[in-house]
Amino acid sequence: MKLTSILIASLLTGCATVNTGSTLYSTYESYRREVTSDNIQTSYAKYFSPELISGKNIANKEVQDQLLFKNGMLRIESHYEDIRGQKGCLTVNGYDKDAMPLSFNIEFTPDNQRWLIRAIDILFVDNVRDFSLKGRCPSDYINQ
Amino acid sequence: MDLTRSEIKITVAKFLEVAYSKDKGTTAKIMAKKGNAKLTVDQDGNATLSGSAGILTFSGNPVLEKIGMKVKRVSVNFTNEDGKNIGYSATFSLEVISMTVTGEFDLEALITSCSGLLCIAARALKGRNAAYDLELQRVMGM
Repeated sequence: MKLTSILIASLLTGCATVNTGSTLYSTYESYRREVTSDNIQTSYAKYFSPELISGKNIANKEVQDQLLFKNGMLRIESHYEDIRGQKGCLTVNGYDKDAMPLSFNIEFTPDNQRWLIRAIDILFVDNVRDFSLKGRCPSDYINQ
Repeated sequence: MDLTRSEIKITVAKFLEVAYSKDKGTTAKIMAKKGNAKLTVDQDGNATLSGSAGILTFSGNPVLEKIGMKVKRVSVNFTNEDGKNIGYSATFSLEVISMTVTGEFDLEALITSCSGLLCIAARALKGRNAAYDLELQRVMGM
């Protein structure tokens, strides 16, 4: 009976963790390196979850610009991530074209051994002291 | 993205300006009351400014239309701790992403004094230009 309980607990723990073989930041870096305005219409599915892009017109310039949100940060200062079960959150702190500080707070979801972006919030801060020093989710900042 | 942090701050001030032009008494009361207030605008421009001092609904369409991109929702939380300086956190939800800006403004500079910017703007609706936007931007914390 005790052995059965241990086995069930182990199985449940196994289900609660995700092995994608990559960090959230390495996924972000891959997106930052590979996705451009020239290939966004063919490459978006590799990085963005169906949940996020469902019903969106990828040919629309506004949608494309938002999917290319990475362009809003010219210099990266630091990054932190936090993975809990089926959800991962990455915070990338850096500076925009005017050298003003901003943070990307990105939520990821696992899909076929990889991470896909499920939500993005761009947080404009006034001071680098406002940079988060841990991985935060968009929902930590978005007003409901 | 075309929407910048300063444009978001100016847009928040412009929503308050429209609220003020509809009902300056209620707008000033809501914003001047210590505690929290909230402004929400949906994609159809239905705007609500609410707080413990009251609630005001108005059309945010004139402001939304000037943004030049599709906004699904605007939500701004205001915190008035001392009756003078108001902290705010504004989230603009777009098609795919959202953008959040935090800041602080002097209530008197924007609203309550008749030398306040919205009071001046309400009295003289003409002469809106880049200088006015710059002044709004300055008041809203940049």
